[in-house]
Amino acid sequence: MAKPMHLERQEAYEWPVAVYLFLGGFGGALITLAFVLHFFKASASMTGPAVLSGLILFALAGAALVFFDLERPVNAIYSLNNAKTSGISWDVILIALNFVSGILFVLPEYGSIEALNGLAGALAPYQALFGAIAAIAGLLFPIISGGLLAAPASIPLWHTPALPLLFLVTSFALGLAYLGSLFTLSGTVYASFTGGILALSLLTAGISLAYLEHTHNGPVEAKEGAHRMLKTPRFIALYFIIGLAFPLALSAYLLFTGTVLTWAMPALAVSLFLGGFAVRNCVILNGVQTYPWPY
Amino acid sequence: MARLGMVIDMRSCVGCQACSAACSLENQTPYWSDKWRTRVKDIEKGVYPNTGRHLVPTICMHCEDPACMAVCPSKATFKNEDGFVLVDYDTCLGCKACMAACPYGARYVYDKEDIAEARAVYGDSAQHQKVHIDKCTFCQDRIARGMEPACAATCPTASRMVGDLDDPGSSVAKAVSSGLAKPLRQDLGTGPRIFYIY
Repeated sequence: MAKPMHLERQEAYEWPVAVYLFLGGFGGALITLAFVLHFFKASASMTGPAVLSGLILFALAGAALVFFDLERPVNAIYSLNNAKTSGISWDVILIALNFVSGILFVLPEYGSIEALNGLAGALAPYQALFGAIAAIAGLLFPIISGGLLAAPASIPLWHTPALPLLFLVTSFALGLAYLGSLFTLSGTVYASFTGGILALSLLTAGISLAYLEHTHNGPVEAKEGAHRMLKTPRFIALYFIIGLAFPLALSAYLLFTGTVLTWAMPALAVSLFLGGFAVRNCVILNGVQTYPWPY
Repeated sequence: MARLGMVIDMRSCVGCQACSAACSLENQTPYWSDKWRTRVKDIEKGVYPNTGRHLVPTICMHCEDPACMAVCPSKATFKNEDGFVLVDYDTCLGCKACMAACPYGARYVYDKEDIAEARAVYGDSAQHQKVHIDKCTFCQDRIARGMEPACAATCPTASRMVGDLDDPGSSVAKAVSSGLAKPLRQDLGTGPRIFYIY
């Protein structure tokens, strides 16, 4: 069957969108994981570095959003006007919420610093509350970011609930590997982190298959977008091999053989970072739509 | 209040682009960047020897339920009291969410270079002073003066008909109610006010 001659790549979003959706999702996942660790008292020493890393990523994501992608950065102040239906409004709200509650959550961890002593003491009774707010916002950010792309029905490659799920799971896999790396650097190796990464990588593989199924059985635009994506060597190498197969194989090997390798967590973090960015970037760049000609 | 709409007869369109030129003159669209609010696309379809060439006039559909409006974070995209989808240039962020959401490819960025060029071309009478996402307004200023949109007024083959969709006696309403004129991508549920005869 001949391909329609009017399939065209969408022109609205370019790679900067992938950067800030990726950094924001990663930051949100980190803050949520930090709260979980803190709540279960797994390691209080890691709460501060994890939350601060998440906040820095959010700051980068926010900066990327405002300065590199908006045509009118100053007008970002109006971006909260349409929270009822706009994914961008929700993302801005979640970034703001995460930023404020994340700072209030992490401050009590630095009570030993003299200048922060009084404030940390005052905030300490509410730490769990602020942590919970930051964690919920962090959990929602990658979902809403995926939803932002999934909104346009005219771009079927994006228009699927698999995308928010994929963004969520890849963000948390990377967050877990990053935290695992921090623990490794501080001299502790947790096997449960490896198990978590294996579980999340298996979920990623499952969602990726469901996503490919959606494109295979979906409209012609989805098929064309997936076809273009799968023809990109960068996507195959960075996402399927480095970002998916490698973490699956390494985490399964570590878990089932009981092997401890000091380089494993940083290697997993780097591979999941590359894979996480590659999938977002390639999905965005290959969003194909068709002009609605009646012929 | 009249619910104005447009019927475009593709059978009589000759692809002269007079509509594009009239629109550009009226609304100072950046023709120098090949950006248009309305344009006649020249589409080839099929595989040799069964090929065809079609002329398809494009324009904002001024949907009843516009996808672009729902995704706009600043409510810069809004519907006026007559139901036309417009952009508030003062509050537009230029985030392009509306461009991604519009199934009809009706929007473009009026960017810094275009603003500078518009100032050079039109001087003090330049209509566009700020970067924004631009689209068809259905020539609101002309409608207010009781005139047709520039594209319809200039079409030499009268391929663009404007009228009240709620007035059963109007040629536009007749074409729509008879099923002769149809909206594009009905499946998306956007409820376009622009209908095509093909």
